[in-house]
Amino acid sequence: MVAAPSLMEKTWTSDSGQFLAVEYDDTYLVYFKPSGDTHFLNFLSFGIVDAVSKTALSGTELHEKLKTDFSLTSSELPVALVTSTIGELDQAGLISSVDNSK
Amino acid sequence: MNTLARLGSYSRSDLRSALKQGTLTLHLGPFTHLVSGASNALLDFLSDTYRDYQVEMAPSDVTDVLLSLEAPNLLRRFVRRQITPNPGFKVPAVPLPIHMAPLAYEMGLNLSVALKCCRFINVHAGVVADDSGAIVMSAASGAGKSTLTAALLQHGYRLFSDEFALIGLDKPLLYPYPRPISLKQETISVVRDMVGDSWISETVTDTPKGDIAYYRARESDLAQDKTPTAAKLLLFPKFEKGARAMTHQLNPAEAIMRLVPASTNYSLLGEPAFHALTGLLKNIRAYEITYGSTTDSLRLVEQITGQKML
Repeated sequence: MVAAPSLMEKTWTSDSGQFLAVEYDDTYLVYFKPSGDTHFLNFLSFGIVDAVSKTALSGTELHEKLKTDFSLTSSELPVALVTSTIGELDQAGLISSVDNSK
Repeated sequence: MNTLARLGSYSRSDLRSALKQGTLTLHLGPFTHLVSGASNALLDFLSDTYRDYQVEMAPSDVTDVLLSLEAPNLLRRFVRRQITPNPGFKVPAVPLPIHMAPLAYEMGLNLSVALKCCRFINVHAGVVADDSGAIVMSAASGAGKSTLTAALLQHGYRLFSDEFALIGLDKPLLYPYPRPISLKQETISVVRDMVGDSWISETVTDTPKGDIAYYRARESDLAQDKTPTAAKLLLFPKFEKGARAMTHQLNPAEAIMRLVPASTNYSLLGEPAFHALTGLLKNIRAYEITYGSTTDSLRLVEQITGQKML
């Protein structure tokens, strides 16, 4: 039996046509069209949504990209923070995992 | 052809007849209201508090709000008489003793606008304006919104609304809807001292919301009820007995997140509502203000706007 991939192993994507975003001082107000919900995101959360809307990325790839984009070290951006943020964004529907088995 | 005239220019028997027949049409701000109800308490309230509003004695070509004040059942039409607002759709309104008709009327109008009018995004807020723009005050009931609204009217502002910020969907402007200001409990005497007895309606006592009275809108407020304006400031007022006066500036995104649950139709309108709220907050600041007295609240507004009032 194969264990399900972790959030960091999964590949993530989002559709930029499904949300509207307005930036205010490093924070973002995001309206998600499918749910009709409005979300208040910090720069890291929006960075994830924005990055995977351009290219599908695994959690590990996302971690590396965010460190580069925001000039952060591994201790400033621990894996646990990226994992929990991915989980929250997935729950809100702002990102979704790509099913690699298809 | 129907003609508009001040409600106070009609005789009591004309008003009674129009109310009974359901032909009294109130024009206010962007809405036309067709009102009916056979109650002396309602007639007294409208004759006094709505005396300067524009009405017609026949239905208008287009009506936005249809409000009927009626007995909840046949028995309560005659025995221990009660009244309930019927806006044409089912609402969770508790039948009230007939002398509380003013409250039933105001509640009925609020429910109609809040739940049925979708030409604007409706946010539960007080709004006043001067030549430089509007101040929007969003707060939970009891936080001091109505007192601050009444106080600002004494310092050069005109009344847009004590209940709803109506924000345009095509342009992020605020539209006036200057109904009387609803005053509860101890606020009644505070505002009466501020504006004078002649501006305050008779108090309706022991309602489910406590004692209620209404501060009548001025003719100058009503004269400009078709003139929208841009917002200049968003406030979240918080009255706390004995509190030290404080301001706390909010990130606009946080301010919008606070307005979303205060809106009755944001979720229904969706994307246009998002554009309207982000448009409204584009070039203005938002503050939470905490204070323990009306004088302090005015000082804080002075400090934020840079406009002398006291």
